[in-house]
Parts: sequence; structure tokens; C-alpha cells
Amino acid sequence: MAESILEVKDLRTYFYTEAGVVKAVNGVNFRLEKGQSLGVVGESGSGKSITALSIMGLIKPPGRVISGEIRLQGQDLLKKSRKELEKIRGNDIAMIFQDPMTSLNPVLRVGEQIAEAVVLHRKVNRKEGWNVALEMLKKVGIPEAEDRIRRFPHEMSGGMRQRVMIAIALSCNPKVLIADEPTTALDVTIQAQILDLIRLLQKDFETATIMITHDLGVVAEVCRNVMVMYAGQPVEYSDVTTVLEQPKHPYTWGLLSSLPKLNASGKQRLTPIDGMPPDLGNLPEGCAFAPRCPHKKPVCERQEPSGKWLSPGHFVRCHLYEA
Amino acid sequence: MTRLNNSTRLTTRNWAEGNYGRRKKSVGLWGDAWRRLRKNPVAMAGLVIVALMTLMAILAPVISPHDPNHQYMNRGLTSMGAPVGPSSFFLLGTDQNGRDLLSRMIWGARISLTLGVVINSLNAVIGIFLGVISGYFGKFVDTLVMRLTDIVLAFPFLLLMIALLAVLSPGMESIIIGFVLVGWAQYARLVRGQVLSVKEMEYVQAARALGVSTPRIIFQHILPNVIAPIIALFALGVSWAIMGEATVSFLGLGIQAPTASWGTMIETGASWITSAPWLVIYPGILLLITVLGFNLLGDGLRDALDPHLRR
Repeated sequence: MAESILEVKDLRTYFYTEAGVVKAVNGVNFRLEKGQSLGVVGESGSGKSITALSIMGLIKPPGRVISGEIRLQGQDLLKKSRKELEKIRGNDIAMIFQDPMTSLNPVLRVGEQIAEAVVLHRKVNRKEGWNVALEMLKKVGIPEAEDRIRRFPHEMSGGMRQRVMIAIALSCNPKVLIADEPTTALDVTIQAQILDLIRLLQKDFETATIMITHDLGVVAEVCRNVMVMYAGQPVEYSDVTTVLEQPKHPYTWGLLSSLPKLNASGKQRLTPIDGMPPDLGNLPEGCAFAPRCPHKKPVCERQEPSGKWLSPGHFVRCHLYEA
Repeated sequence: MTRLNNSTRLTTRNWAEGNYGRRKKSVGLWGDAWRRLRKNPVAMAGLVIVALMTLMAILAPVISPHDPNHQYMNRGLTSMGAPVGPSSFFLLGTDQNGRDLLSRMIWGARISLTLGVVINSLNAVIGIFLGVISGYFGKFVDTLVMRLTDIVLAFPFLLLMIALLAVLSPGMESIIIGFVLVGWAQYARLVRGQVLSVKEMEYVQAARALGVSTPRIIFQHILPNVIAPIIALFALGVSWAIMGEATVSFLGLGIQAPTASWGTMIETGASWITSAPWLVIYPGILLLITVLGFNLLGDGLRDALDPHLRR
């Protein structure tokens, strides 16, 4: 087996609100190998982003990571002090946020923002940081980088700002890159460019990538493995071909059949998943997906499925496959 | 279909990302604000007034026609001992002690502006410090600081000044102490509110995700983004301080004779209002114009620096 870079075991992040405990992430497990890419798919509120923020150590009260392990090259990040985490963030793990329009500081020139991370982690002076920034801007395909580097974020388009975000994230050559819906806020044409870029740089830098998205198209394009999340739990995990072509979990079926198909004949209607995602502060007994599941059995409403490896590399959490 | 050669492709992408045409100068927040301020004639009028007043204060020794404290016993007073009216020698007349009114007004600008700037600088420093820790760290500190501002803002200002100046000796230092005791609260309130909203911005989260430490996040990412309204408040604060100084001096608790201050001049002139009205009118007009200038500039700055109005 290849070298494992990031290993997440039984991660649970709860939010202690006045209305009760919200179980945003409720037992997430996965492994990420060097240079590998994992897609995390799910509806809004399925715990994708909170998983990412937990890994980054950026959960703020009233949220708290209550249990689990996050091992980056064997070291548990949850046991690190704040100072140690500051050294790891940006250097070993970096993150790209969803909205490039608001993720850049409006009063700083983009060059300064890229150089900031470099100066911080590589202990170089400002001038060298600036040089690295210029190099990075060229790498992410920004034309006329020498001019752009002195510009302010509001002078750039959304696609360019996302390129800048990618440049910032990769400037210290992190081992893991977490991209939280990096293309959601962009036009379709720009989306394709950004995905191409991420794929290219991932190869170039040998960065392991976690791609958080609700777009299965994005996953198909960039990822090797997929984790489908529902109500804070992974419900299906496998390589991308298996998930897209032989999905086992009813929720994955639902997701796939709610996508439009280009080769569909005539006026085929899309099939939505009925119902609403469950209230994470008040999860149903048994399987969280049971209330919306067209294939539910009596056992589904009584007992939580524990999950099963159908084959090495294909995990499903559903009573349909439990003996 | 012919394949696009490399240079065409680059051009196409340039076009797609909006950089056709060429090179506008890069404008940051300040350049942008200045551009918008220039388009606002009212604010520019305020700026001109402020600039003129500042020049007048700085150049007082050069431009004032007479020594402000010299008493012209013969030329400056009538045979009855009353102030003389405007003439070619005393352009705006003299006061009850035979001193040149215009010169005293010009020198008075120094006192007013110095007080305005010193008081507001101290207020801004204290207010920003308390506002930032209050807004950023929240919890107990926040409650403490905010209740303190409530108390300060609820306390009758003049009463406080009268009490304070009864204890301390009246003068410039006492005025500064009194005004700072009260004035910081406005800044702290404003800064706290701004910090509360800016700290939730995605770019602050993004900076944290890069491993930027808390002090650096505050100084590099939050403070520069809250500074704009503080500048507007500063301009308004200067007019508040000038007006306040005049009020306190008018009550006889402020700047002491023989130093020329607008408030003192108006106070002493008040008893001559029927026989020598210029003693009150001219300093009054100057005070009015100055305060108006700072207010107009402050309002203009507030609009110009507001990112929501950015076009």
C-alpha cells in the first residue's frame, strides 16, 4: 500500500447550541495517500465543510471536535497545541475556500497575500516571498503576472481570484490540499479551467487533495476516490468509477438519478430525492436516511447500520447489505 | 477546424478574463476613496475649509498682523476704555484689553486645532485598542468594555467637565483629560462593531487556514479593514472637540487668559455685545465655519470610505 499522508478516524464534531447538540460530523473515516485525490460529496448540511474545518483545526465554539484522530503523516493533529497547528496550517495542509470574491483581503495587494504564507512558513524575507508569489501566479496561469501581482482583489475577475487563492494555498507546497467547493461560485467555463488547473497542479506538486463538492461532475473529473456523506456520516466510499457506475447506497442512487443526462431521450424528468435532510440536532433513531429512503426495511428505523466493506475499497453503510 | 496557435489562445483567455484594452493604474482603497471624495463638492468644500484653518494655525506667526497678546493702550482703546471698531490698522477691531481681534482669532486656531487633533488621537488609540479586544475576544472583556462605554455615554458631559475642572486647575491639560475620559467611548463602540463583522469574513478564516497567528490577523487583516470609518469619526470628533473647548472655555473653565482661544474670546466678548458686537460675531463665525468644515469633511469621508457604496 502506498504511503498514507492523512488518516481520519472516527471524527466527531458537535455543536453545542442552545437548541441542543448538533451532530455535524458523526464518525467520519478515511485515508488519503500521497498525491491521491478524494472527493467528498453530499447535500448542504451533510457535514462536508465541517469535516474540512475540523481537519484544519478551525472549529470555533460552540463547535468542538469531541473525538477521533486526524493523523497527518502519523501525527495526531487533535493533540497539537495552537502554536504547533499554526505551523502546520498553510505549510502542510492548505485550504481553498468556496467564494473567491470574499476570501481575499480587500485592502492588500494579491502579491502581499501570497507572500504572507511564504514569509511565515519558509522564514524568508519579503522580497523572496514576493518572488515566490510571482512564480506562483505564473504557475496558476495568470497572464501578465508582473502587473497582476500589484493589483487589489477587486480589480480581478472571480476566476482570477480563485487562481490567486490556489496560488496562495500551494505556495508552501502543502502535502494536503482541501478544496471546499472551489468552483461553486464560478461560471461554467471558468469552472472547467479551474478544475483543469487543480488537476494539473496536483500532479505537479504531488499534493493529496480533498475535493469537497455537491457536484458529481466535478468529482468524476478530478477525483480518484469518492466519499458520499449524509447527515455527518460517510454512507458510501469507493473509487470514482464504482460509485458512479455501480453505486450501492440508496442515497447515492438518488444523487445520481437527480442529475440531468445529456444522452437522455425525449423529455425525461429528473428524479429528486423526496423529503428534507434530517435535523442534525435531532437525528432519527436508526439509519439517518431511512425517512427518505425508497428501499427502507423495518430494521432501518430501529437500528443504525454499522457499515460494511463489500469489497476491499468499497464501503457502504446500509441495511440492504447487512446480513 | 484549425488549431489555435499559442498566442491567439492567450489572447482569447485575456479577453475572457476581462483584461482587454490596457493598463489602468491600480487603485487601492485609499485611491478609490479619494476619487469619490473629489466628486463630492460639499465634502471638498469641507476639505478646503479644514485645509485653510490648518494653514492658518501653522502660519499664525507669519500671517497675524499683530502680537495677539499685546495691549495697544492708546490706539487699541477709545478714550472711554472701550474696544475700537474695525479699521485699517486693526482689521477686525480690538478687544476690551486693546488687543488685535484678528490676530487673536488666528492664534486661537492653533489652540482649537491642537486640542482637536490631540484629543482625538488619544481617543482613537484608546478606542481602537479597547474596541479590538472587545470585538475580537468577546465574552467578559466585551461586556466590561461595553458597559463602561454605556456609563460614559450616559453621563452628562458638561457636568463631568465642571466637576473635573473644579478638581484639576483649568487649562489645556485638564481639557484634554476630560475630553479623553469621555471621547474614547465613541471610538470603542465603532471599532467593536466593525471588528465583530470583519472577523467573520472569509478572508480572515482563509488567513487563519494559512497559519497566520492571532496578533497578525488583527493587525494585518482586521485593522486595515476597520480603519475607514475611524477616519470619518476622527474628522467629526475634531469638530466635537473644538465646539466642546469653546463651550468649556465660555463657562470660564477652559483656556485661561491671556492665551487666545475662541471660546474665551466669545465669553469675554459677550458682555460687550451691545457696544462692541464684533467681539462675539467674528470669533463666532470662525468657530461656525471651522466646525462646519470638519463636519462636512467627516460626512464626505464616511460616504467615500464606505465599501458598500463602492462603484
